[in-house]
Amino acid sequence: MKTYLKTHLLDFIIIGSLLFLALISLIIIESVANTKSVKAEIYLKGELVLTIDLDKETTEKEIAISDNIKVMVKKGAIKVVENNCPSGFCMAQGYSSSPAKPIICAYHGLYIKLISNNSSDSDIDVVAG
Amino acid sequence: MRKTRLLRYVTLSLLLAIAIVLNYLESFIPSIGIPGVKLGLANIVILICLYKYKVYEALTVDLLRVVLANLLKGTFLSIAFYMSLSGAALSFLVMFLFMHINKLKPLVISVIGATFHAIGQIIVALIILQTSGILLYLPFVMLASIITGILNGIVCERIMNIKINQDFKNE
Amino acid sequence: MKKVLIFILFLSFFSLFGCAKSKGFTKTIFVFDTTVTINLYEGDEANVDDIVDILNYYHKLTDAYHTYEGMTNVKSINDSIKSGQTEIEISNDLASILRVPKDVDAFFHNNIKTNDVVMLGIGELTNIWKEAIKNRQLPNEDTITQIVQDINDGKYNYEVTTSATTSATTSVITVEENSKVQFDLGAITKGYVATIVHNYLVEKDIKKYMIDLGQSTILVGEKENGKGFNVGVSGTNYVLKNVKNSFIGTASILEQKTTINGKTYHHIIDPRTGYPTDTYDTVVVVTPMHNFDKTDLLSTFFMINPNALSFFDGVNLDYDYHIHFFKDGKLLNGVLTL
Repeated sequence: MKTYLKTHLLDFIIIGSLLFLALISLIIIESVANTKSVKAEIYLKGELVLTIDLDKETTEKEIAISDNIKVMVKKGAIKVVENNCPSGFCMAQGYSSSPAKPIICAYHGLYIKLISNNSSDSDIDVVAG
Repeated sequence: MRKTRLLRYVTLSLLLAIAIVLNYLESFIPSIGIPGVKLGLANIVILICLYKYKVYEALTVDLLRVVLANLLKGTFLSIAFYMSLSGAALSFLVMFLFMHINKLKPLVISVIGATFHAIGQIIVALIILQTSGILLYLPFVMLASIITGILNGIVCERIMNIKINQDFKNE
Repeated sequence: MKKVLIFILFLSFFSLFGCAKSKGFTKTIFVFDTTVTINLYEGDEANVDDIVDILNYYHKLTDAYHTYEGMTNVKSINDSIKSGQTEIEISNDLASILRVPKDVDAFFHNNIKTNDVVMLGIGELTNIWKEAIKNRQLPNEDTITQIVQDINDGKYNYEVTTSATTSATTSVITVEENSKVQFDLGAITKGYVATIVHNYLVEKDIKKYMIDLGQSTILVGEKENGKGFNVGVSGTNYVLKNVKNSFIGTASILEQKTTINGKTYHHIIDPRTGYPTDTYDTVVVVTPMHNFDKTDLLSTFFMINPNALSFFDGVNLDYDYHIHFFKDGKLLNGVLTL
């Protein structure tokens, strides 16, 4: 019984390396997450059902994807507002605006892919004239 | 001898029942701030089974837990069930391996189990959704798993230090 | 063990919420009659303040509408000339701005005579046209003819002299008796100030920045990720891709213009005719970071004098000038590289 209380160096190494791995990848994702999205592609069970131009949305608008799923869009962002899945993960995620943060609901096979304008390389940074 | 065997199976059944109830109750706990992250309390039971019982017994409890809990929630044979199953199976396998490779604390095994539970789920989601975008979830879920794994591990260590039941492992 | 656990937990939560992104510094101020945006992706806030100080100083120095205590600026020079003074003492800073056209000519071995087309002393003519555009009414033809005549007669000429002794802190502007000179440094100030700001950035070793002095003058270093900037050209679909460590000088008629009797008039005036030019809508000059006070002037110069290309014959340039000419939203003649 007492052996459970003993802490070895290996314990720390394992937890530490797992934590390190998770943190590093989180930081990498966070650092690229500030790119703006202009398009959202909504997939249901692997099939593209709807493409939304997020750049053109000026006000908040609700769109029904299927009988159980509704999304809300606004300029540059999209979120799930209605979904009858048990976890509610996707709804809790709120507005997403970055290609690095897709919205996924495994229960319905819902996948909302955010796409930035081709690539950030073609965005205009400054205007001369 | 008969008595001990009976006691053994009764205790196992009780543990299974506890695991299912914990699993079921968990779905009523609103995710506090962090979306989609579950505590994975049932893993405490599985961990205890792994330490105190034979492998096949622990595995039976684990698989039955997944099946019964999903039957209870009405998600049997849905995507959520397969995710849950693969998570449980992968986490069980890895926990079992690590337990035998080295004498690690239950806390560490718990963390490893929670992490691979998440990885197993992600793998199934990856196969079903056919999109690599879901991998972006992994670090976040992994981090959450480490935290819940530590919490469960503490509980597990406490329980194992209390001598409630007999150690059946070597009988 | 408990303490370690609490520490790990604390660390994990801290890292969850502590992912602050380094965005650098952005500041927008209103000087030189335009909105200036300073973006630094390196350095610190004090650097931004320093740049703001530089901009404010030169704004006051070149202000043609207000005087400031203890400073001889463009407004006070203009007032002195009006009151009949022929010699005015000015600071060396102002003197070097006034000397830019001459420097450009010297730089191009006097093949170019910018002074003929980009005159700094014809504020009177510029103001007439600014008023005309504002009121949508053509100026009096005789007034314009008279001014052009005066320009040819040298009544708008001036001389800037700095004493040869190194200790001299001031320079002197000399004009003729009854001079008509009224300075309007709009065509060159921003380019000149950009040079000063660039020198500051070099001194502070800041390489990642973008400073937009109101569209006509843009200073770009590198982006945060080391890439270049994409520069859109107003009134066109044209994008200059991946521009870095460069200066972009633009002369454009799109901002201040008006249409009278079906003809478009704007604020870039050819002193040889007294009327606005109509060869191009926009001229964009992109050059690496050297002497770009000249680039800003050159864009205006090319705007007024499209045939100026011939002046480049035989001039050996150490670096590239990329010149883009636009008319009606289209790029003409491709990109000229000098």
